[in-house]
Amino acid sequence: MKSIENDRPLGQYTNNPFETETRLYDKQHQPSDIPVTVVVPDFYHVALPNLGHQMVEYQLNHVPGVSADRAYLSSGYKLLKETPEVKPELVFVSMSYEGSYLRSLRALDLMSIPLRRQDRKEGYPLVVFGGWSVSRNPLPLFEIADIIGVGDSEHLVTDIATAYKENRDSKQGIFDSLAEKRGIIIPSRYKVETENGRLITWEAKGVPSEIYPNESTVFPHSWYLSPETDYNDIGYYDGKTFFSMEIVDACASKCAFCASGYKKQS
Amino acid sequence: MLVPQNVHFVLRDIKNKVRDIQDPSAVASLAEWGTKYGGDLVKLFFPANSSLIATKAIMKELMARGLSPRVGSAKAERIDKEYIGLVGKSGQEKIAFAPETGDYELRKRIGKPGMTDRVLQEVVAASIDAGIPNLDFYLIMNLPGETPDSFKKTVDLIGELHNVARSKGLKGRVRISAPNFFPKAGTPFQYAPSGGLETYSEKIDTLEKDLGEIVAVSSMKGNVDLLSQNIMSRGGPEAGIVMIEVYKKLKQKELATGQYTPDTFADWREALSAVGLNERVYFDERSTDNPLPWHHIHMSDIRLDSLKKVWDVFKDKRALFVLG
Repeated sequence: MKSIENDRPLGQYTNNPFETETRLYDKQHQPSDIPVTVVVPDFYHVALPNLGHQMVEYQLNHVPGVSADRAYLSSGYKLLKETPEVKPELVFVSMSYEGSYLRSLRALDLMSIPLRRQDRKEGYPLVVFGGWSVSRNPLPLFEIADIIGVGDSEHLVTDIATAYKENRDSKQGIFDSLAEKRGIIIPSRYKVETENGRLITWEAKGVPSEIYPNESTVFPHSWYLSPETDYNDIGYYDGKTFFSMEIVDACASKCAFCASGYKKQS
Repeated sequence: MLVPQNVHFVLRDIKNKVRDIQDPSAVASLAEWGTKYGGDLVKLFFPANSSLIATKAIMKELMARGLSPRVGSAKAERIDKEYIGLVGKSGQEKIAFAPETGDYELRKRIGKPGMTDRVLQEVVAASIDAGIPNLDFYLIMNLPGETPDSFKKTVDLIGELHNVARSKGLKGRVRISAPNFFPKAGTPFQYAPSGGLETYSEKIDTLEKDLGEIVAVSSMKGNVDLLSQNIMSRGGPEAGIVMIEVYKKLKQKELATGQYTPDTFADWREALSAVGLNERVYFDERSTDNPLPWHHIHMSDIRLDSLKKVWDVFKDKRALFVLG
């Protein structure tokens, strides 16, 4: 039986994957820029096709005074960071499914970032989580994330980066300036308790009690091309490079088990 | 609550509107721009969710400009021979369909009333005729409402679809992807019990035994995500504390051995115990009377009452047609 699956060992690459990439936009930075890292806590070949994080990085690199790179995992669960020598001040973690959550802690640890937000005093990077599964149920990240983005990234990540830039020395100042933004959760400003799978306490302190997603009108597409990528749903094309485009963002069907149809449809 | 018996149940607050590109020329121009820097193929995300007319027009336009589109799984009941022909003409290595279960009555109740076994047989035949060498079928084990008879029908359906493909001259392979069911926040099944781990393993064993000779079986058997995905999808802030406990254990092992090893079922169970939590909380059915942890997160336009109604109708085994 002919195999069209990619059987390569997880995270093992012939070349440095970053060296195989073509970037589709200019990225010019100044030494004074605020360093930001966008993390997808998965192995590079499955993570790069995630268009959400490419969009996030693209948007961040268009905020004046901000310079973003990307990080993934490689063999041995090591960090594969585009510019390893640069320590970020702001970290965006993009996750589309629950299986990556634990690996996000691995990525934070490898960047010497305390896992619990309460342990990240001034001087540690601000950690932002977002993505498809995170947007549906962000609660498990309330003890970990400084900020959680719910919904589409457009505007939301630039708002966060701008708030950081304008309040660089004050975490509370950053939170204050973002408190009323749609799609943004500041976990430290909520008191939340659950018991046996039900919510028993939800108190918002100076932030919205009801959370609605940020909505975008932009369709993500590839900003990076690399042959070191896999698309399990269409077959394995050894050495081929994909330009990917999202042509629709929600499903018109409403299957009872699937989240795709239960998304805010503007 | 009054819900009519045995009639089409319509969620009236659903807007049949999605953000959707329907201009083939605009899509093709963007794809041309992207591929001129070295892209070999154009991957279209979520065309199955889009209109068939628009998707076909986009594929034709891409191919007319010498580009090679690739598309993910298709909704069998919404596509036609022309669409499948375009997938074949583009040179795509495989096509995927998602019956989820072989039990049509259950498939109808989960929201796929148009995907009959006959429709599946027809799209399989058309796919082979179109020269597509490989077929994937997406299933879900332990769907709410699945019975031993439903599961038997799943095995039978895959056997039948394989027979259709082989009789038409299947060139490559058939693969089934069979993950376990877990409830997603914000859907009607958010109240449903998760698929049990033991019954999942037994079902995968049966699939491998009964179908392994003719199809490739891709499953989550032995994968710790079977446990952790339930905790993360259904948990509150305590789930994050459990996860941190798990990571601490992995870190200790790494410091002791010099090597990072991925998490195991035992790691998660020990962490749950350390935090004083019961694994069952993340697997059992939840009452519609209590707010769920994500109660204040509103990812869709659909009211909570509507989700509850759909779940109640499903549990009553009444036909469920959710019209989007």
